[in-house]
Amino acid sequence: MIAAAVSFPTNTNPRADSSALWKEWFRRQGPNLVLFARQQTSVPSEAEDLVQEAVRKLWQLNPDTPPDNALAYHKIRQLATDFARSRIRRGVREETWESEAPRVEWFDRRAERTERDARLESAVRALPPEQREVISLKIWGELTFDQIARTLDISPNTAASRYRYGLERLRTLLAPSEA
Amino acid sequence: MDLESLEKELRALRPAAPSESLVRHVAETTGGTPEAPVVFFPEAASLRRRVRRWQAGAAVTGALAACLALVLLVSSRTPEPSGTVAPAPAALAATTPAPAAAAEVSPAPEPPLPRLTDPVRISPPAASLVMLGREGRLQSARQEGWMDQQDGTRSRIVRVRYLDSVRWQDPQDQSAVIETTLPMEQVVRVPSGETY
Repeated sequence: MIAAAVSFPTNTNPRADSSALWKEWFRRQGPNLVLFARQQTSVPSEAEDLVQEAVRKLWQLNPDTPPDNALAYHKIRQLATDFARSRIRRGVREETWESEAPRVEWFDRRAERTERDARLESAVRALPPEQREVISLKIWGELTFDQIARTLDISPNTAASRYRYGLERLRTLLAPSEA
Repeated sequence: MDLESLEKELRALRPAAPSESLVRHVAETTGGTPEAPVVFFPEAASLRRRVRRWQAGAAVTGALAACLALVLLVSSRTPEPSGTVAPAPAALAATTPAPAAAAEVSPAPEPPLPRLTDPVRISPPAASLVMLGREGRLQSARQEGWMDQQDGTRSRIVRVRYLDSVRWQDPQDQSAVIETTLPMEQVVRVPSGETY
């Protein structure tokens, strides 16, 4: 008697595979993408819309594989510009949005969150936007300067110098509280 | 404080997690098929779409109304009574409006039916021009009812719309030809069994 060894594939649905890949990718990158989006828009409620729309567009481009992180940040930045233009066309005043919207925390409220963490967040918020986005992409997005340069359409040297100036600015902002 | 320790402190901050609704939407999006219609930003996007549709609809309606008004204006013009129709003018059942006026036309004796090619004397655009030819291009013919004749026969009342084109030539300069085109409308009686 011959026993035939038949092996079945563990998963016959490629869509389910890619879906799991995307889910895992968003679990890891989602918080960083939302943080970047919050820094790109003056309308707090718009940040998650930006991320959602960016993910949708990236998924439509290639539903089988999650995108390169730099591309995802680039898409969010692009959409933020489009959204802002759309608001201008519709005559929506951003000052109103900013003043009336509740402050959204950028970072996790850890149990051991200290006063130092709060000061760090305030200092990051106080940075000029061009330095803040580079720091955000470098520290939390974990991109290289080359990737940051491609994401922001600047040269790698400019990205590196903005990062350095940003850190020095942060140190200055935190200095009075340390004294 | 050196920059390296500052970087380390910054890395210790963890970005806030996305809302549950965003995670759910992303999972729904990436779990579907690319062909499937997916709705995003249900409030803002659908509202914007609706407003755009409304604006486009209003623009199209306005344009159509303007075209209709123009067509009615042009078609309501009656030609100058400068020419005489041969055979007799009574041959024409009526010009607009159709059925009521057509019913009042003297039923007998039965005149010959008008044809678009019937000779018509028309005042030329300029005294020196000579008419080269005339052509009626039928646009539509719609039956609007029946009319009983005194002899017991029946006639169809037909509203005809056509483009009346006349070509004129300047005898001094043989190559100079102008063509005038007017949209026309007539109501004619067509005896039963005949066609227009």
